[in-house]
Amino acid sequence: MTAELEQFMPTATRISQATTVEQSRGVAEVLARVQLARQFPRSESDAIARMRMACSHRALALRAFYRYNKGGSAVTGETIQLAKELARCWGNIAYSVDEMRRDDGYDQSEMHAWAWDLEVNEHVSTKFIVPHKRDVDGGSKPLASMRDIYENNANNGARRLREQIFSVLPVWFIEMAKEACTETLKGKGDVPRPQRIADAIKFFEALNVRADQMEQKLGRERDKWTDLDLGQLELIHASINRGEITVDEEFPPTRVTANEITAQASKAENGAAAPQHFDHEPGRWHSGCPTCQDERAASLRNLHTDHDPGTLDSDCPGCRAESAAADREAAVR
Amino acid sequence: MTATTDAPAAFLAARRPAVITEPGVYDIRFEDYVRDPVPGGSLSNSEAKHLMPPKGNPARFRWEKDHKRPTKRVFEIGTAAHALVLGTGPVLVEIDAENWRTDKAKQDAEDARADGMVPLLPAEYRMVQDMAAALRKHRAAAALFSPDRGEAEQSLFWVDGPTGAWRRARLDHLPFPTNERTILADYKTCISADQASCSKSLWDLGYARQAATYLDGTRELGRADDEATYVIVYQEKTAPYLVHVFEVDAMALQIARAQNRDALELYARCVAEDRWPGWEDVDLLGVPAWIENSYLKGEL
Repeated sequence: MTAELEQFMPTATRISQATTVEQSRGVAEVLARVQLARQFPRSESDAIARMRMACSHRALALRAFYRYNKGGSAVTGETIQLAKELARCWGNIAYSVDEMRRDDGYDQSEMHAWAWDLEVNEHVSTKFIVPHKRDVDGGSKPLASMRDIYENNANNGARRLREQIFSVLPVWFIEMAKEACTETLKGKGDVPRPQRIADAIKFFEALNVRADQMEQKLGRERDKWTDLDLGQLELIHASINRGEITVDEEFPPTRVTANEITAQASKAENGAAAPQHFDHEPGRWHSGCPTCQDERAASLRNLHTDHDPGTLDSDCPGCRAESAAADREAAVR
Repeated sequence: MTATTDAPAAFLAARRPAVITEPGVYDIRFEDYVRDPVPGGSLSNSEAKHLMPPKGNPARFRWEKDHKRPTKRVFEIGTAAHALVLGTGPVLVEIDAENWRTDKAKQDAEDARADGMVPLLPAEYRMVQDMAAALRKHRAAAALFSPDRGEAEQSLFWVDGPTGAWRRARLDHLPFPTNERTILADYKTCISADQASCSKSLWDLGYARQAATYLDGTRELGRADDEATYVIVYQEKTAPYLVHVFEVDAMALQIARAQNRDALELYARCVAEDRWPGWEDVDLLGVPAWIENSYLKGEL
């Protein structure tokens, strides 16, 4: 057992006395945990009960799935928060993610993520390099601050740790938890569904998302939304608030079609969509609007500069004066 | 209603250039727009690309703004196609020559440019005519640039809220305000109008930033709301002059807005300090990221 643990110990040319003591203590602690795990094996039925209890809480269910956009479609999956909670429920599992070495010369950190089922000695681990860079267009950009490096390491580490934990948990246990969280998101019916629909529309209104966009997303009219639809909306709302996905990605505007364009032009041609005169800022005119044209003519008296190229405006005193001056100059020549 | 007459050349020569001091939509000459009629200056999309990395910086931006560049032939053909498609802009002149190599042809072209016209060889003249005819046959493209739907070549001037910098944009076609969703359209000539080539141009040629700029401007000036959208009509410059209409997607606009914001902040800082630096410091130079990756994988 000790030899097995040694492979995870850091190597360094100079080790302090405190580090040596800590190493010994760590080895003793792990040995003790393994012995305890075997002495008090898990009860699967208790683990399932704990998992069901945890997944019945909306706070966990809402954070159990992530959602982000990649290549034009939404990528979904289970979060590190769900992984950690399931590890707690399953019991006798140790896990960690460690920065083994930070190399400022090469601008990278050597990381180690692992999970260990202490009871059955199922151990999975991965060592990986996290460059102190972030992807930008056409390459990568170095991370400048310590905080950026820490957050970059933490993000990369959390993703690896999630996979390690899920690797030591039984697949059926994970699937059962996902179903339980989905059920929780559906709701227990304590609030009437019409009320929940109204609430959902109101929440999304604050994000400038219209009800018809929500209907398009879910593929049915609002009065036909199911509990699962409402759960999906709640999850999307949480993902938007967490910044995993943007409103435009999740609710893209209605696509422009050739029919829409030709219909607009056809209406305009038939006069059905004639330009409407509306409150103008100075200098804003529309050639198809008689009121605009009148305003424009009036304004030209003060704004001599705003003429069509190559034309004289007979209503504009400035035009007339300049034209007369130009004629006089031409006559003198 | 105002009556108009043709102006004599002497009047045109003496004509005072436009000055814009109020935000709004203006029907001004292209030359006035390019010259930047805002006292103190404004930032257009084509100028912003000279400002921003990777190729631009403030010093380049300043030089480009202060120096008019000679007209490139490729732009003249694009301008000619724009004029025919949009039904506005400069007059096209067919120069009777086989190519531009003779002194007479060069002189005729220069004379036409001096009069604000676009000189074209007979083959080019036929080409732009055929392009316009092909576009008119495309159902959506023809409808987008219909004079019944809006006005061609409108110039927008507005003030950016966060920085206070003036912005300007010249739209190929500005739809009249209606109860329908506003669809802004821009016309681009290209070598190939397939999806991959157009997607590349969206980034490489700054068309996405242009889309975000135009949407910002029309919204700021009350000519569009949040539902407004932007389409680009690409047309190939070789027969059969195929037309492909694309709507710019939300992600492209999001990236473009972030780029525009960076450009505006840099521009406002340079204006405030009246300092337009080039590459003044010593930077670290490495090989491109893909070479580094190949090396780390042991492929080199």
